[in-house]
Amino acid sequence: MTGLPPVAGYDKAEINQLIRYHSEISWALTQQRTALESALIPITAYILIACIECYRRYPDLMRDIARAMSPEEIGAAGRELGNEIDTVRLWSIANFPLVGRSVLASAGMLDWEDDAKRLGHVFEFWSRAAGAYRGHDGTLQCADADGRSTPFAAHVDEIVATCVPIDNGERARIARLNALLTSYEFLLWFDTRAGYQDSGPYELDGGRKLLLRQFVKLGPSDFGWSHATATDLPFQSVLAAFVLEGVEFRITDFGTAVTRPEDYLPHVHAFALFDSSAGDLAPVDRANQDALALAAKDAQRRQYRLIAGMTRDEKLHAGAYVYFSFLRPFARIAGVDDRLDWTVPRDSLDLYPFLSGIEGTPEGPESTGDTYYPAIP
Amino acid sequence: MGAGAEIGTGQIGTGQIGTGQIGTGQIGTGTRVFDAAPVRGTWRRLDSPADVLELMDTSALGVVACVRDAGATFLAPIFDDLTAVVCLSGTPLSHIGIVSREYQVPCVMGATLTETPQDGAEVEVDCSGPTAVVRHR
Repeated sequence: MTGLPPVAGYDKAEINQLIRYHSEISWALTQQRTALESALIPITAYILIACIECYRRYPDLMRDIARAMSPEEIGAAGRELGNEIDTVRLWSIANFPLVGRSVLASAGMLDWEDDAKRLGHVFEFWSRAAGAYRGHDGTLQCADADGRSTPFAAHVDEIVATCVPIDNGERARIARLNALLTSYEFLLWFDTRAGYQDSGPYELDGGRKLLLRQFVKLGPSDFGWSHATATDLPFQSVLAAFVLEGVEFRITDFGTAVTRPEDYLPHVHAFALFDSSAGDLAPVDRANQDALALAAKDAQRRQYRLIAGMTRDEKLHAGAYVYFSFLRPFARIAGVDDRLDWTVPRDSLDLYPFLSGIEGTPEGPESTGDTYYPAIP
Repeated sequence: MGAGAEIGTGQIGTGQIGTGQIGTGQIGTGTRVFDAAPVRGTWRRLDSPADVLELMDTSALGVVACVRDAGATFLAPIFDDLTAVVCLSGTPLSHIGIVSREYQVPCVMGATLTETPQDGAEVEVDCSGPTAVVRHR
């Protein structure tokens, strides 16, 4: 039982309403994504371990973070460049505890009174941060806004002024750079898409649209493995800007652009890449873009060998840390990152022998948008 | 090999296939990630990281990789050399689908095969129609 008090305004009815809200959105997201497994990494097992940890520890961590800085201030920081307050992390800090809770509920391991208090703290922190991230426009997630997420709207004029029209040869070079960075981030982040985040559509003149893609934590970081593989990456964070013609797109709450047509690259009219590591926009010229692509390619090969050589437990611990630490950027913005315990696994050890052996995606009872996350009885 | 029991569930001919796509040598269908002209390559079933490392250390050029799972990482270091990917699970929004779109490597998701080619067989992956088709060549 947590020692946390109930959160004012978050009674059982309110909490159940928010559970239902997340249930509908997240069920739809997972229906689109479906299978989530890799022959390299035991993804489902590490996700479940991490989500148990999130359910049991996020309420206390969120309280400690909020004592240092208001969730509104932290959420608003995501509208600046180069940090990791973004769409997928905001989705995750509410949904990871709910996933862990579902596992515990199915095992009959929930205390419903305690559960209501935990979720009250999670939802309060999340809703205050998410509202500020979205500019207090009355929405909390992309799903509330028909797939629109435009946190960097204040920077659009500066970004577009730097974008350079491209021809087909240049398009192929940019496509490869983008693909290498995307693929590299997936591997560095143990098959999560949190290493890069899309935003938009930012409407431009003539019906054109701007898609922004921020790649974060490219170099050495709190990911222990990065110090063996990512030391040659010349930037810690870069922002790619694609000016699109004849493309419609929306952003999911996983932070991924879904485009029509699906292959949007032939429709890129202009492009720019910025070093956003310092929180501003420093244009990266073509030579340094090529150097970045080469470094990402080399680092990816090293990273693959390293992961392939890991034991199953090492992979599980690394992947669980990636997921569990989605809250860590919020603590970093609040200045309490180093004072909090991010060790994982820690509070899932009672279930670890069972969870660690899971292969593939477990077959559960058929769920719907109403029942993806169970309500408090 | 080793996935033969998982595939071949007979979805071909159930009306899900787009017009004009059923042709000689068809061995499978699935959901395309993006519209792409037919490509030809050498079939290779990849089951373990060791299979990927072998190609990473030699060459994956011209390979049509068949994989079971829809994670993005398994093919990571060889993705940009591949001719196409045939994934036996997932959807275009699965991680492997997202990465294939960025690499512009034609990719078939949730593929159902009526026949499993031998490694080294020449195949065609056609993502030009509403349903992706895999054919023997």
